[in-house]
Amino acid sequence: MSAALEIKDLCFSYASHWTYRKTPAIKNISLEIKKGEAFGFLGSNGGGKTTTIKCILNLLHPDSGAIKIFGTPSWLSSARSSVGYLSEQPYFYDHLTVLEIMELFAGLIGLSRSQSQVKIKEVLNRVGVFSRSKSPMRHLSKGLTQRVGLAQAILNEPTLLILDEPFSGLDPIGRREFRDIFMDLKKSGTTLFMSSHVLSDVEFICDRVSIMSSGVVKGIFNIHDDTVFGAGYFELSLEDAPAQAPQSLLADEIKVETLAGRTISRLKFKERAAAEIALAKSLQQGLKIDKFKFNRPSLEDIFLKLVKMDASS
Amino acid sequence: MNPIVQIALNTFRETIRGKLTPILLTFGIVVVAFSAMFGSVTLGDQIKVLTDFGLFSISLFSVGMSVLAGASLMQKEIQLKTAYNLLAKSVNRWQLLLGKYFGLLFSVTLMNFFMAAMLCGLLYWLENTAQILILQAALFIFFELVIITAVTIFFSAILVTPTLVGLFSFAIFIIGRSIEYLPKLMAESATTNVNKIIEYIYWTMPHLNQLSISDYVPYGIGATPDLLISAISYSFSYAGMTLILACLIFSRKNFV
Repeated sequence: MSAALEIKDLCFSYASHWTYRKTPAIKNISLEIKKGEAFGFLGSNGGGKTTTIKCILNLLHPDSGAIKIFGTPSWLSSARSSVGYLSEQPYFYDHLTVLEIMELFAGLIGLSRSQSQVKIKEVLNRVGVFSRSKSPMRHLSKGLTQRVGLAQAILNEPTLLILDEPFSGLDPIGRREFRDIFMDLKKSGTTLFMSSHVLSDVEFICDRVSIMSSGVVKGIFNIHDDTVFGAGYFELSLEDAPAQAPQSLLADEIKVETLAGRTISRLKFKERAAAEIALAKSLQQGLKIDKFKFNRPSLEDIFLKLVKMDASS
Repeated sequence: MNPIVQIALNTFRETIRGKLTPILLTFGIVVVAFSAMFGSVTLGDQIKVLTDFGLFSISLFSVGMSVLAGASLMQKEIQLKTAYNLLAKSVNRWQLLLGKYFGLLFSVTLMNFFMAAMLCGLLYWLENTAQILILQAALFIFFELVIITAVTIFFSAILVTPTLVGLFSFAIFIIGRSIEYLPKLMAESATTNVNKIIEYIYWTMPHLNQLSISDYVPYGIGATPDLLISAISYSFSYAGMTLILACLIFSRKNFV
């Protein structure tokens, strides 16, 4: 069974216009995205994410390596018939209306007039811009243009959806709506390949992530794998607790902070049992509990660690 | 619908609704109307002067629109990334380029024939006779546009800045219109190397002078069937070869 997207030993360099001197942008990267998987493609600015996406879509010709979409070489236009693509800050023709833009894309994917009318209405409703379908594109805000971008990307019911910074320009409501659409698509079996700086959303949507820096894949992680992210810890926060009280609770680590005139003691516990005992004791002693929660290292922690390591090396 | 037709249709809409069309069209109409005034104060045949000046204006404004609109066409597609969305579908680069070409050609053709119809109307109003030869001259301007639009698309596929695309395309138009002077230059030139360069230019540049009947139309002379056939075959072959070359180069281009 072929993968949804297979990138093997991909290298790409940008050549200077005048001297033709080459600057490597992608250095020998390999990735395999399984069918139905949601894959987060993360990295620092200039790390090579957009360049990789351009190579996948045949907008850039790689120096070496191979890219296959569902087993078909990506340079063949037929490979892209099952692909949807939302570019970073998409832009469409100023003087065309939303409907005309959608009709153009419906025509390009081979929908008949009657099919396209139904499908366009459906996707515009889904992304929340149907009411603006007669507006020229130049009258649309950045967020609404982003929605039109998503509408054209999902018009062909893609089995592989490539998203380059899909949340840029969206307000919190839009972000939530996009996230829900991506989750629905994932449930229906669409493979998602997403580049984003909004790590909380990537963590919510994706199954696996890769982190790229300076044109190299620094690591590929399963989001649900605790061995990668670490076991996490319990945190008990006490408000204005007497000085000796936190020490008596046998925490693994204690931090005391002053926030807006309040003294907050943060107690960290590696073991659940120890944390629960400390919580019970605190309640018995009548201490004021500010927070009790389980903290898991976030994707952001891993991301920062890897990118900082790369920067320092 | 074929992707080329889809892209052409949208290029036509975008070009016609853009700012350039009303500006050039208004200016073209003003110039044609001005030529009527100019003709009326000229000694001799007013109609001849009006026809001559009118056809010159139509040719200039149609070519101007083709070059100006075409110069930024592909650059806008690449810089604003609209081409990314199109090429991410199963659209080939050559289809995008040809779609742009036909869309632009359709826009400038429409403008050409609209201005020719205006000139016909003006002449009919002045002379009360239908000047069908004006439409024939407009047809030959169309053949010229077939080539110039292809040349503009060619340059916009390989160059980065619209200014250069515009300059080069307009230079080709000027050279193509004055190509008959090149053999005279060769005869006058002393060195073989210069002669070789001039000869190379002579054979590679479009012979637009062969496609114009605007000099004869004011005297009531139209095109012969032979001229019509050779104009059709020459303009479409030249444009075809230019577009094939453009497609080959564009297919290797990196969208940086």
